[in-house]
Amino acid sequence: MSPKRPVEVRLAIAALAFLVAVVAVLGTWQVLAARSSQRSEIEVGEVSAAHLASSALASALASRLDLLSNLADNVSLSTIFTKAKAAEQAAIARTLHLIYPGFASFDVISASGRLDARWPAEPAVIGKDVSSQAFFANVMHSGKPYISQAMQQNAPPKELITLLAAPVRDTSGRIVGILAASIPGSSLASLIGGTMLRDGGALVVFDKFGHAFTGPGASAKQSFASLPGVASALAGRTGAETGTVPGYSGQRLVGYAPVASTGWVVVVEEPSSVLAGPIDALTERLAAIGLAVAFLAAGIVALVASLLRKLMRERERVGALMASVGEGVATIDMDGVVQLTNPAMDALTGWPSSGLVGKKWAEALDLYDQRGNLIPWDGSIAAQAASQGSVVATTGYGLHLARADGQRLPVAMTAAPLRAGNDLLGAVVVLRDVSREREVDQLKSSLVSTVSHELRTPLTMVQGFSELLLSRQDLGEKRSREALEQIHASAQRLGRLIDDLLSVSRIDSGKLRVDLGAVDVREVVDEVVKVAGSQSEGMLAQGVLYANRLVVEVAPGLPAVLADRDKLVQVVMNLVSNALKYSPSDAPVRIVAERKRDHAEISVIDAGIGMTEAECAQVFEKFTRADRPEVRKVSGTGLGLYITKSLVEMQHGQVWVRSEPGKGSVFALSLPLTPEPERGEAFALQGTKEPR
Amino acid sequence: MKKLLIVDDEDGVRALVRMTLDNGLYEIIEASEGLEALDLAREYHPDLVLLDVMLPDVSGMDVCRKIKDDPELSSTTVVMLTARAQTSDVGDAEEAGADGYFTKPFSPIALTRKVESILGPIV
Repeated sequence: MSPKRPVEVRLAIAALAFLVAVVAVLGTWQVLAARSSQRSEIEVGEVSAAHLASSALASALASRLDLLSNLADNVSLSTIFTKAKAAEQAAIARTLHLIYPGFASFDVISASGRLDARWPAEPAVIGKDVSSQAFFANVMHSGKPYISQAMQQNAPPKELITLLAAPVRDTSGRIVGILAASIPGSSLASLIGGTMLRDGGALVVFDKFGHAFTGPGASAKQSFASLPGVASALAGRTGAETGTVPGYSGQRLVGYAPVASTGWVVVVEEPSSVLAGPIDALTERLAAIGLAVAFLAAGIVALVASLLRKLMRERERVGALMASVGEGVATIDMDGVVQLTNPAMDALTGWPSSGLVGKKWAEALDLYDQRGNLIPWDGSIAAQAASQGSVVATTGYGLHLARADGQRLPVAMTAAPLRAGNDLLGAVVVLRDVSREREVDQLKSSLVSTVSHELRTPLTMVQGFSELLLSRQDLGEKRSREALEQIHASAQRLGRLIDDLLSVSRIDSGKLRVDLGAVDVREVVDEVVKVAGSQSEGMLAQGVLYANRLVVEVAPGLPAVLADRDKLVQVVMNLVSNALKYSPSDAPVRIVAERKRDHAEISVIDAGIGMTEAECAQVFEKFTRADRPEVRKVSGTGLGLYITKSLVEMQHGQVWVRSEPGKGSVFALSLPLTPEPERGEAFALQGTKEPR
Repeated sequence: MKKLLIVDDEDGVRALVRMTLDNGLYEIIEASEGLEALDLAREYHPDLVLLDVMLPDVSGMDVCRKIKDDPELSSTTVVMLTARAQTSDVGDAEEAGADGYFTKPFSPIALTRKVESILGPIV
């Protein structure tokens, strides 16, 4: 079960999520800004590095070329070129090589294009014709020193080199040969000095065809002319851009610059650690901060959510408590305005759900005191509780509430002060419908009145007749006997009344016990008839004639019932005496007993005053008597049928009535028959009895 | 001969009152219900009515009021005879115009004196 999150929780989560988002955006922005500034910084560095490298390379190459050119201009050299033997030529190359270690080798080439000598010695190339090579044609044609593009040596050490060549002239200025010297691609970097490059940085020199002199990609066959940095530099521009560097993986920010008077270009690249290091550190720091903020936010969210959940649960518990309380509960502030009601209060007052909230208590609800006067707010106990801070409660059943539909209900009201710490906030009012209690109270009054009347009447006769007997000597035998009979009948009546009251008391307190056994219905009916006959003399005084009105119809062979014999006699006696009391003194009363499946049904049928449907519905209730002259004429407490019903039900039976006003009543009861094995005994009992 | 009407739904009470006052000097009439009592009062014009309050059909107070309102019965004295003995009941009886009030249980000797004081002594 996932309870709906309260709006506060959702707001808190949203606010914290927003905070986290802001931190993330700011962090990212910071990183990007730092990256961008770093990049531009690096760009500047790369560009200047490329620029410096190209200048250094250009000036180094120029000075080498100058040196070579000066050597070639030496007059004595022309003689060696034209007149000397091969060995001498080789010796001069060797000497030059010895004196100028900046060059890897020296070549002596004749004006016809023949390679006459080389040092370090390489016999395989001596005598080769180099006239078809670009440098030869260039120097011979222009008469100026020349720097070649990248060249792959055919002979060992088979390096990629650049060849510097200068014309050698005789005294007349005629070109007699070419002095050429090689610089390996691998040593170009050392020409530049390399100090401007940080550790791990790369510097690659390309010739005008895009052949790399240096680095792992160095080759005279593969062209990198289309690489972004290389292409831009070949086009004569100096700058920096993102591209790849031969022999290095990935996209790198490279600086590039053309190398003056060679057509070459230089590309430099800072190592990635230099580029990314500080940025990564910043990113890491920011990420750590972001993570911490996120954790903190999540923690706060969890804490707030848990607090709110606890609060909500508390509120729900209070709500559930309020909802489950049967009494109407309302809280009222100091001004008498209703703050909160529970469903029971709404039901009690008849106001639609929570319709009372926000209204003034005394204006929305009309409460009347026992004299029927409207109680103003100032006079209400709610106001007392709110102003005095004490618990006040109404007593008795005088307070009435006018419901929204106009109906008036007797209510009991308790008001208690509502406090927060020492501050009085108002009052809690509890309203309870006391209709039932009031009814019970009235019932109690009517019971006292009924019982006292029922006691007083026979007492009047006992007292009166006995006083007459004692004080008057002139009564004579007949009247004395009548007085004694009246006293006797009254005493019996008092006895019955006390028995009834005791029975009710025992039934209500659960103290009455039944002793179930096999009971012969015929025997019970006979006893009732006999008792009615014995009482008839006494009852005559009340105008009730018994024995000769009773008609008994017990089905032959009716099995015994499972019942308490004495209680059953009491029950049937009760029904019979009622039937006799409430029917004309000459009308017969039938007692019918028959079998209905596994039950025996005993009906007492009279042709008496009968009852309406409403009276039938109430007839078995305590202290209920129909309120009409025919009934009032007959003395009674309204207890007999309540006792009857209780006794029958204690014997697992049922009792019911069918009646019609003026036509008579049928009171019937059914009791379970005894289980099979016990029946034989009952039959035996019945068999020994003399037929009536 | 003075005429006396006893009104009570309890047979025993009527028997007691009759036996108490049956001295051959009064003509005693009995009624068990209120309307019956009113009819008998109008027919016989009794000198004294001993009237129960709790009657099956109408209240004894109403019967009393009707008797007192009847100009033909102006000489009839009404004494309420009831088991209801609360102050408010006495007040109701006075309001209904009753001339006296007697509570149950009652002493036959006291009742005799009361009746004698109203109807004159038994010779």
